[in-house]
Amino acid sequence: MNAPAVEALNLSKRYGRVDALSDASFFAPGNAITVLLGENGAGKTTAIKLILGFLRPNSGWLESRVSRVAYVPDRPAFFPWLRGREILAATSRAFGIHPPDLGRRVSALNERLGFDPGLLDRRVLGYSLGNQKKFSYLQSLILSPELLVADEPFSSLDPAAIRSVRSLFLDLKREGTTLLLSSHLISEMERICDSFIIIKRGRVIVQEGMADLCENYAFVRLPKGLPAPIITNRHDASGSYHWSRISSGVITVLADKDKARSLAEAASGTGRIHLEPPTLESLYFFFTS
Amino acid sequence: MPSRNLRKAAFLIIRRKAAASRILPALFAGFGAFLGFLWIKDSFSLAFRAFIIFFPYLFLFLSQDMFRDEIDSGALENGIFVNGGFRDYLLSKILILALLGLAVSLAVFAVFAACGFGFGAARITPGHLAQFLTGALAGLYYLAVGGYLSFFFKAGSNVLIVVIGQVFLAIGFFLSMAARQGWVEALLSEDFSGLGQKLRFLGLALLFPNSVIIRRHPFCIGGLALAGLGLFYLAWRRIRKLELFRT
Repeated sequence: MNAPAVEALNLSKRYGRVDALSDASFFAPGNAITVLLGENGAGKTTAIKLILGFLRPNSGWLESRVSRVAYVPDRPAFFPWLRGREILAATSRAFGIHPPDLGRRVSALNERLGFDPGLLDRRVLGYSLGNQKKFSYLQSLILSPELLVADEPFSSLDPAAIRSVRSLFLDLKREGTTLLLSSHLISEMERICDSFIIIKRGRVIVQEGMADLCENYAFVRLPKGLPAPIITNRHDASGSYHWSRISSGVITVLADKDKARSLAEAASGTGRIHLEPPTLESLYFFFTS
Repeated sequence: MPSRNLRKAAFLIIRRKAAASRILPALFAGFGAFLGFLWIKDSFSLAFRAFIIFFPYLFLFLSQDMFRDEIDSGALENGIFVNGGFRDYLLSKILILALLGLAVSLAVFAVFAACGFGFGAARITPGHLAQFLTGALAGLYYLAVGGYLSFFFKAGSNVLIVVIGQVFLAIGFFLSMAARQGWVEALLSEDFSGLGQKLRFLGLALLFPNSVIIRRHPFCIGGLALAGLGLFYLAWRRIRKLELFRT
């Protein structure tokens, strides 16, 4: 993985007596797409708001190594009295973009996002939700951000827009932008993400690179009745991790392919046991179950 | 200190808000019509005095929807305001509204001065200028009060609380005037010899800041300025600690 663009260490945030985030350590590698996954209320949005500076942590350390940060929220909100063009003008002023550059960037992005430029002369709160989301991308991307943070990046978008945004993310990554996305649409995330972070009840359960897990690791499910192998979540001598979960007597192990194969062979007396390549969805359910 | 770029963005946002508002232009037009009516029906001098006494309310009306409405709307959770920029925006807003209030008041004052000179109705004296400056101080105090209240009250209710509070206090004051004969006499004669009298007039000035325009006692002017600064400081502290929780 590349060097972190954003890094958090033991980050905690409390809302009254509720721990929204507890001792969370994670990072977003530079020039890569990192996905935050977790149940509703797990702490993903809190993590994002801490990174963006909308919230302050109660404890912990947060470092951002990028200067130009853009944000696309789940439900974009705008000042109700402002028209699209005025919001873009305010954004460009806030980040010191010169107007001639702005016009050129807006035209290019309108085409790429499938956003109707005629809407720019209307108040943004009057747009449909999908167009508000597209406008939020437009507003973010005129900055040529080094880090793009998007909460539910595909919500409210039509299938064509989802496809455009997906390819936009891949292009941005190629151009050197770091992307941190939070989404429940695992199938969409699987197509683009380089690494994932799973948060559960405010705690970071795991952060891994997708390519490494998919190429070198496998699931093996050991049926009921077998003596449970002594496997815990730990580093082994080779330096790789393995994890295990027990559900209804079935032990599921995620380990590097050699270890998974040896476990399957040890249990093969009861029948053939297949190794399953990990997918983002299977990883999500494995780590959150 | 907000960055220059963010101040520019804040100025654009606030300017558009003022232009899109339906209440502010109606209030300004109404106030202008009221002054014009006084001038035509009575005299330039009365219209000018009415302007000097009432223009601080302009600052109060500018403070409507100043903070809480924008914080709760979620509009501050926008890409413009990342890395704590929303705090700088809100701090800039205080400064911009203060400058806007001063600019509009000064423009109307200049119109009065030009008309008075041009029509030979009356000449603006240094005394009038002093009244205007004291009125501007009262206006800034109103902005501080209205702004601080707008952390707790939304949709212009911060302004209504001040205005309705003043109306009730004025009624109470007039109804109990007989019992306050000595103090009323002191007020009329500007005799604030003891500390008690000074503090009582300062109390009146804090509730009715416009009163310092008529009775420009240094103790009260200083007290009003300190109270305004104190409220601006409290607003600054709240903004520095502000976090955006949108559910």
